[in-house]
Amino acid sequence: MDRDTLYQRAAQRFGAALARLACGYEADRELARDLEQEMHVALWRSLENFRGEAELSTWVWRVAHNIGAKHVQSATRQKRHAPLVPIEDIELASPQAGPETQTDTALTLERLYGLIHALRPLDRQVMLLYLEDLEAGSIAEITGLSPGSVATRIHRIKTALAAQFETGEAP
Amino acid sequence: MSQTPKGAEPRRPQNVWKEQDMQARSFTPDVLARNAAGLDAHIRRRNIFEYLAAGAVIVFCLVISAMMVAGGVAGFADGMVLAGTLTLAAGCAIVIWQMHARTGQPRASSGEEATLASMRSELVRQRDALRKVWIWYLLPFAPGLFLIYGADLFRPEGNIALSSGLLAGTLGLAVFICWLNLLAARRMDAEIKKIDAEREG
Repeated sequence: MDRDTLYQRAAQRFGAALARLACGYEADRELARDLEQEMHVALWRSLENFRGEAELSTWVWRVAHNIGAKHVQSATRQKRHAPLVPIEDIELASPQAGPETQTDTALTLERLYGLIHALRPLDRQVMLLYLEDLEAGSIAEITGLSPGSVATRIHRIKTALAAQFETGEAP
Repeated sequence: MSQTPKGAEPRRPQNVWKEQDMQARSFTPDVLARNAAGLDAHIRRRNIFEYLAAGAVIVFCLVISAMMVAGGVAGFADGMVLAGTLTLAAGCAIVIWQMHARTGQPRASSGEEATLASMRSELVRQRDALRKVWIWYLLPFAPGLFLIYGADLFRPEGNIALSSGLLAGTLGLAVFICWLNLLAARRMDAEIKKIDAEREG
């Protein structure tokens, strides 16, 4: 299969996920659109070397997260955001709103983005992949973290999400 | 704005995340190729000031050399200065070539490696380039500068104090640049060690 066909297939399957991912790596919506485009270009370029050794999905996530992580590192160097923290050091906002607003989608998303944008790139990768409903094994394969390390991070993420959104998920 | 009714179970964050109103974008190969070329051009333009500064030094050195040759090189000291300006021009060209080779080419992202391995190899590449700054960024200037400063030793009216002062100042600046780069390399080394620890779990 040629590169263009592979790209079209990947864009069709992962286009929306790439848009979400770009917003997870960049808070400014205009810059996030540029980042999303950069991810598409990187993906299209990289597919020249795709030989099917890895799943297409693994390939797409890796390329996109590499671009996202580079973007965060560059923003960190330019001091465009507050210092990033590991998931265990995240400061959780205490839920102050009433039960109606706590379940409001827009507020949930706003808090979710607040949490994501405070995380350093590695924890952010795990968080974003977890939110895309990927299994721990797939996350380990994409990131190169040991399965134990992924499990620990997911546990912390679940705790943070449960505290923030009262999801009832077992920590 | 959608709300969950009172008493209802809050939605899973994964569902909230995935059901965001996001428009999936897809680009034609033409647009992608054009954007890729634009990104490459941007990377090439990143070092434009360094290229312009080095170009100005090369032109200046060549003009001085031409004027010296036209005026006639009288004595060993003048010969040293002429050799020095030409060597300095060559040194500038080497630095620009090295800068272009090390930082001017876009590095394609690949899906072959896990993201941590990719981050690690990029950090290793940058750390090694910083550690070797003295070889590829500073050393090429040394022969030309030594010849120009050293010429005063062979002039009867040479101001050795001034030449020595300039040499000491230049060496001091070179050491300072090396130290700054080694400091940055050490920070990257610490990040590489953190990544290694993460991979081992």
